[in-house]
Amino acid sequence: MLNFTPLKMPSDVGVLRQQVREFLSTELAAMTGPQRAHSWSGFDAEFSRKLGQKNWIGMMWPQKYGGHERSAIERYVVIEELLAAGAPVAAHWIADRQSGAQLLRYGNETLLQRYLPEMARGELYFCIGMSEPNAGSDLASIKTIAQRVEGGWLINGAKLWTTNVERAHMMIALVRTSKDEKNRHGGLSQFLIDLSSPGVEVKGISDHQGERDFGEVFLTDVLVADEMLLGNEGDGWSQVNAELALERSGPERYLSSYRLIEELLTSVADDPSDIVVNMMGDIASELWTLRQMSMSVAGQLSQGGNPTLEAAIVKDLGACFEQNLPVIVQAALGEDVSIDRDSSLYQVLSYLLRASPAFSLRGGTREILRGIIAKGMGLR
Amino acid sequence: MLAETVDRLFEELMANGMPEMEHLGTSPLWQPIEDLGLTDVFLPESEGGFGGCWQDAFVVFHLLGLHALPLPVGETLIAKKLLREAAINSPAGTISIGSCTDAELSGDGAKTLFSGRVSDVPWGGAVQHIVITCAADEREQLLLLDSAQGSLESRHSNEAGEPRDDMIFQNAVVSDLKSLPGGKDKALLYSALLRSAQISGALEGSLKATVAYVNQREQFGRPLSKFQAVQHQLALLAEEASAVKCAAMAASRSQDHDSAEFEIAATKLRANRAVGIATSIVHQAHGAIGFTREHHLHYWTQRLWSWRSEFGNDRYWSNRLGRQVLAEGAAQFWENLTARGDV
Repeated sequence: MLNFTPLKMPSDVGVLRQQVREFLSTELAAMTGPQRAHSWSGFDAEFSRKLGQKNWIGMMWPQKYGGHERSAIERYVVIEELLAAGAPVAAHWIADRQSGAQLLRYGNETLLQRYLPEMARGELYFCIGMSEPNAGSDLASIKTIAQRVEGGWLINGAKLWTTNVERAHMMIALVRTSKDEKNRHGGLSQFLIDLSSPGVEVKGISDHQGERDFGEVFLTDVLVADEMLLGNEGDGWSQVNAELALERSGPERYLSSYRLIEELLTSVADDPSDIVVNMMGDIASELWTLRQMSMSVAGQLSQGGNPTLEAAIVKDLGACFEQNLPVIVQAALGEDVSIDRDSSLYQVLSYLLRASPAFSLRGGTREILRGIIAKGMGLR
Repeated sequence: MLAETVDRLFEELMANGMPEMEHLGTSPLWQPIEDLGLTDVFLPESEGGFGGCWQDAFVVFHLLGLHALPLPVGETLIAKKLLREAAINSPAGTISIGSCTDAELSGDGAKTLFSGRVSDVPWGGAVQHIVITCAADEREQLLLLDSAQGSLESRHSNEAGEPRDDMIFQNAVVSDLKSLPGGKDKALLYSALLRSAQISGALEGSLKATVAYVNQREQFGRPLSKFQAVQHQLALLAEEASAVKCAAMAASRSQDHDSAEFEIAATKLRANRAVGIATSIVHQAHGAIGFTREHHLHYWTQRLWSWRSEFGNDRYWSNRLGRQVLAEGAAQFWENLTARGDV
């Protein structure tokens, strides 16, 4: 019923892992703990460019489009090293993680040649337009529409909670191309939209602690060419769901609060209380287990499997872990751990307490995930 | 292949519900296990065994939990593994494992006599032999005894009614005795891996039973499985079962490669934590019927409660693991965590 066969890491990944570590120890030497705590929302255009030069973006893409034809497991190793180090990967993150794969699966030759090489260089940034003002978890109720016109499609509507939108050059948007009264999942399509097009207005939104990682996009009579349609008209729903299933179980699903663990280990006094010792044991146990689970799903995906249920399980457990971490650390602080407000530990903790509610919202809420798991078990 | 055969056998053994646990040594249930050579998973093929590894043993351990089979199959398997590592020939029949801190060895050269107290022995009064780890003559020793020589100081049962006995031996004749460096901790780690795998099996068994129950039981005119509150509780249950199964499989694989002290510690702790969450969900989903003696839900839940505290409870493993991680320090944490997967 539940397949979590452990992944056997190829023995040669150790070399790659070492290369990434050496690169990061130089590149990130000046980064502080609180900066690293931003994980995959940390933005640094120069860093993304350098990572592209190391051939660590678009690792699995074909060489003819600027990719490097490495395996899924090699990519996994690079990603987990980047996240564990707190590298600022936000600029290229979505292009590398999702949009490139979507283009390769559904994009035509023109789009692949035009966009993928620049994405692999870490210079072309993407965002994903799914949620709207009145369509969040109920994604099929989106209202943004594309109408066929002379020379392409005219798009009207608005997207909301779009991560990276203020810095992205391109957006892959899910829009309605027709209405099917009998099938609400029908009539949806995906388009590639150049955010510098006339009629596009982008506004960043500050989150409750003042970070601006997401925003909204207003689309008013935005004309896109025919070639910008991804896949087939009307297949948007299944295309999007395949994408979401793939992005549920990577290392980013349990490492968002990782910085706090190293900060804690650095700050604990020589003779800590059992409360702190036992908490460290709990954290190590959960993190090790989650990593085994995540790698198992990665292994199944790389062999062409379809572990939708398992991936949803990893994401929900991972988000619970990431959210629980700042809570238990806050509860356990005492004389054997520094609680100075100027300390790196305190600042990382404070940031993560406030950032962590998003961990079970982004990319599908906890409630949606548990529904998927229940469905996988035959309950609905 | 192994999984199918063992699954079928355990299902047959449990076909009439939970068997009586008295007089285990002469129980007709044990003979098919012995006939199949199931306790010889680790024995090389050249010596008539399976030539198996820990990942094969996991399959057996997991199915023991899945079927809630009340027999010391896992204990015997691990006792034989320890005996083999100490180069002692294994006897046939049931064997359990114990640890003694006040061991006294005496003898006249021809035979060695053992005196000491061994507590909390699984199936202690019911098995034919017992393997004991102890420190004597300033060395860690492994010794094999005919358990009938022991007197039961007190008979205990675990939450599922399985024997967990305190035994006293007075000048008992030792069948064999060898030095086994690190033997006590090995026995603990192997047994913790056994219980983790059994917990993963019991979680999966109770998950399947709970899914079946909520699909069949109707209230308010529809099956319980159609209520979102119920669905989400079962999703959490599936997550716990998944985490423990994955951890136990990964730890078994690591143990095949090298001593997996960290992995087993992490796994037993994860398994222990799952017990509280899962038993609460499965009982809640079953309502009053699951609380009855007649219903089979307690086959799993009673064992889960027992296994959580056996061979290291949450406090023991979190403390041991925490001390290790803190000793290694921040700079080593990630490096060690990933090195443990890159085998």
